[in-house]
Amino acid sequence: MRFILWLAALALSAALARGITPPDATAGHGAEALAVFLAYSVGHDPSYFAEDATFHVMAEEEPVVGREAIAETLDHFYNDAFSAAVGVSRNLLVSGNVVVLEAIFHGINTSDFMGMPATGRQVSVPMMMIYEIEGGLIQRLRLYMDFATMLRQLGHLE
Amino acid sequence: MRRRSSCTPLYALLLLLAALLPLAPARSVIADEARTGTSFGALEVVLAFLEAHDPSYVAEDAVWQHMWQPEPLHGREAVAAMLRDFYEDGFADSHFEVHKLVADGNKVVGEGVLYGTHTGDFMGMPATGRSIELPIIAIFVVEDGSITEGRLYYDVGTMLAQLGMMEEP
Repeated sequence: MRFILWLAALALSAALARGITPPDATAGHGAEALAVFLAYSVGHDPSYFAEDATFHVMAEEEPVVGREAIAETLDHFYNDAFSAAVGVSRNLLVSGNVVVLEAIFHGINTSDFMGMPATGRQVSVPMMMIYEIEGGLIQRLRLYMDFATMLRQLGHLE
Repeated sequence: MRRRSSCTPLYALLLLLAALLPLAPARSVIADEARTGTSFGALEVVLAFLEAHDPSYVAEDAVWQHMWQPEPLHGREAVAAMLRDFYEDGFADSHFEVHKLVADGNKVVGEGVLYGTHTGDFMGMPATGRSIELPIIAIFVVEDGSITEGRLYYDVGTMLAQLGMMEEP
């Protein structure tokens, strides 16, 4: 009887110890979020966003709300304002339902951007994006970058 | 019945001891992780740094960059001077409210909002008395219990606009 109780106590304490294990991107923990993120990253397909998703460029007051509006924003950025637009990954972190991408955005400004005419200049702007993924879809995306850096490279700011 | 009842305190004591004993090695494992810099240890180091802005958590040869600046800071002393300029001189009442922490291996990302009042000289600008509320995300690399790299992403125009140094976007 004592032996059984001892075993039960060991199992309980082991479970308690597991409970304070750190967050990590181990297999099955973050794997689904990573799969969704990677599939989305191939072509920035807006169907990977939830219908009521939000995309917040943190330099702006308000986020873009809804898949349709996000699709327009991404299309303008990747296919209109900048050509040859690519993000070169510097770091990718995955934990639970969150994916964080640190990257450098490269592109050539070939059309109006932020109300300013095209300059034909190339930009290389460091940025960081945090994706919250639930139910196989991106629910929230937040983008951090310094717009002054981009405007300087475009020649709009000294 | 009487016999069973007399044994209950003994079983309870055994349970308690058995439950507590394995936790002691578990704690030392965490301490080891903190030293070797796996996720949990890295998280602990970054949390402690964010709470106290203590440069002793920064490696002596750390590379630190506010991404709007063209060049990084090199070394603990340079980081310590930057922290003093901001948290002690420029924005004495400031604090960083952490909204999300993501740890993966020896890298930790902290996302949050920096609140403060411009109470002293900062980057050559005299105090304005204005408040800032600046969304920031930062990535830290932790090795051997110290932060060896830090990169901070935010929109400097947002901060300057809040300080009245440039027009609101």
